[in-house]
Amino acid sequence: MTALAEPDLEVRPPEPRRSRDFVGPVVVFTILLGFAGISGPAGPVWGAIVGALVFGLFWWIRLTRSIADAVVLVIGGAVGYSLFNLALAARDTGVTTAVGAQAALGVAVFGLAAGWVMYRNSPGLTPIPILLSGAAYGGGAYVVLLTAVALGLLDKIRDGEQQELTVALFVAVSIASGVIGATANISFWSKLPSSFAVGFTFIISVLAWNEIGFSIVEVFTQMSRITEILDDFLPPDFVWIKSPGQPPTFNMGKALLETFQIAIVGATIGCTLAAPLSFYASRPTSPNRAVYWLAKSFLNVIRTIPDLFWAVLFATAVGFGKPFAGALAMIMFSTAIMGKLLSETVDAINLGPLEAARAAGATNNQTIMKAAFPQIAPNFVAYALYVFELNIRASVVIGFVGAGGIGRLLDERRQFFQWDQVMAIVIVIFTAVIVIEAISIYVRRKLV
Amino acid sequence: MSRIVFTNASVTYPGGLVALKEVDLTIEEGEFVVVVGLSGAGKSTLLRSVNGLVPVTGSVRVGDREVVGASNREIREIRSDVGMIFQTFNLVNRSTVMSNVLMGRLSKVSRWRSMLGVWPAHDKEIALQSLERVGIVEKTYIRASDLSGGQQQRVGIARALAQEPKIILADEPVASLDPVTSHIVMRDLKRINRDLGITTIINLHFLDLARQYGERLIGLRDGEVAFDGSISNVDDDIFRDIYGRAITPDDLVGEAAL
Ligand SMILES: Nc1ncnc2c1ncn2[C@@H]1O[C@H](COP(=O)(O)OP(=O)(O)OP(=O)(O)O)[C@@H](O)[C@H]1O
Ligand SMILES: [Mg+2]
Repeated sequence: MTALAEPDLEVRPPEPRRSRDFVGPVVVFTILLGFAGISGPAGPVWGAIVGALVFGLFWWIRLTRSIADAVVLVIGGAVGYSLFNLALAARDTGVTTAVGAQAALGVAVFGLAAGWVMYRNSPGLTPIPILLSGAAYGGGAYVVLLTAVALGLLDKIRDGEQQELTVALFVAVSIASGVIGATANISFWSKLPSSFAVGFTFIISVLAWNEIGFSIVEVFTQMSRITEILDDFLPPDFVWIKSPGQPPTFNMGKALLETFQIAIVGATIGCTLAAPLSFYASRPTSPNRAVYWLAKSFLNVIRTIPDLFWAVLFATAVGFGKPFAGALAMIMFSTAIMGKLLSETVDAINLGPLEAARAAGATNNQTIMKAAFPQIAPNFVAYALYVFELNIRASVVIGFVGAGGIGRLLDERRQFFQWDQVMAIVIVIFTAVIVIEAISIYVRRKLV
Repeated sequence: MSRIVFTNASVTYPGGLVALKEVDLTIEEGEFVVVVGLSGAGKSTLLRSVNGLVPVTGSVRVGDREVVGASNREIREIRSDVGMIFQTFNLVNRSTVMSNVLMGRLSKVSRWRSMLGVWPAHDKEIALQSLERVGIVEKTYIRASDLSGGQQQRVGIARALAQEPKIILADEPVASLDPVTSHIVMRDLKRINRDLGITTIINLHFLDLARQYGERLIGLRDGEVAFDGSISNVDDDIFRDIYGRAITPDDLVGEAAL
């Protein structure tokens, strides 16, 4: 705006720092890192390419268009990747936590470069985010690598047994470092708890996806070793409930964990799908009639189909007793419930802001994101917790019809007429449901 | 060019109610026009036909663009140049003042950027300047719901200003404010019109406000233009003609400007 009164900088409040400004770059960064891992040899060339691509993203969102920043990112990528690569090459000569630290250092180098560019181009930031960025990327990588060492995964890799593990490790490092990096880059002071909660949920979800075999590539299934290790930790309490004849041992701990994982995957994916569907299935936020009817009919139809049907369907399709079937069933179940709850909330939103956004020339999706979603955001989170809670209960039942989880164990014990064990399982389920419900209610109350 | 020309413009709402009947009007660039009329006379409809928020037929030209028959994209382009201010402010209560004002920039920045909330410094600067213009920049990062009514309306004005509009449409901008605040907001609008040369059309309920701040007055009655002329020529008889009844104290906001 020209010809305006000259800005009175004294009066202007400082802009609070926000996490969102950095989420985009970080997401792309992590995807690229993961991709680099899957594509095999990561090295300085790859690092330079990653740096260039990240710069491309910065350029695209107009964070920076300076050549100096491009150079920093490319060199940072090349150096960081070389270090990371060197560290993993050390697996041939024995793996220690020192290797993890060295690899993490590589990631940290790139984090520093990215942090520096962000800092340079974000007026009002102190230099702290640079250090945080580096520390967080490195720290995230370190945590994952240490876990890998502790689980003996790196030894497996060294012995050349499990090539897929290398890939899984790359992806895990990327995601963890990216998520932790994103949460640290932030509005470090104001939004720390919520950002970490998001990051934490994300990591848990990713781990849960692995466990369930919910992956396009088979690689993640290898991570199920974690539950076997858990088994080893838990024997005395649960040995009486083990099913000796079942390979592999499917005990109470594992069954409960599986139920939990099914619920979390179902809730995250289902709720994510339901959000756009709900907006499109509500007249004031639907782009047009056709989309409105499609979205609305879809939500109506899936709502009428009971979760047990989904469970049977997917158990038949994916394999009887597989938790992946349960996860698919819970996705449909969650989408239906979230769709219903959210649609009703969306129908009741204040239309004034929507009109204001449209009058300012916004597109339909911009209107949804900026004028509609903020109105329902707290409800959305509360519903998501509620859906998770329902999923826990539902995934017990669907286990009966072959969709994995603790329901499967219950059914199995029942078939062996071991009623004392059935009783024990019921008590465990009961306790788990109560505890999760209590937590969920507590968090929801804090939110709304 | 920000001239607005209505030619034979009509609005028929779904259900068949004709709210605007074959209106012919020309509003020149930089004019400050006040529209009065009874409730239901079609004031809001007239305003909303300028930015295509109602189904209009005939012709409404805004600058060199035609509203009638415009594609979605063309209508967004027109709206991008036309700021709108609402009686009920229409702010997103849970969002900060800043993100409300930035809504005025939605049509000017890349879609993905705006949706991710990654606003260019240039747009943030414009938002801050808009807030400075209405004198509430110190509230920038406060939630909109934490402001008083008058402050909320000034955020509404800043949101319109952030569009760097050529035209401002204000639909009863002071109807939910107390008399003192009403005068402050009216003065803001008048000043913006004068300083920035933005064509301004304001619907008003209160005749004394119309008289005090208006230059040109348009009187609507049953969707038709019953009066159009300089406000200095308007006497109580003309108001009576527009309103179809005598003036009552309810038609006045009272408390003349300080
Ligand atoms: N969306 C709509 N659908 C159907 N009829 C409508 C719609 N909006 C307005 N109308 C009708 O059109 C006529 C003119 O309405 P408009 O809102 O333009 O009046 P107004 O002069 O702004 O009145 P007020 O002073 O009460 O705001 C009224 O009879 C109203 O009932
Ligand atoms: Mg009106």
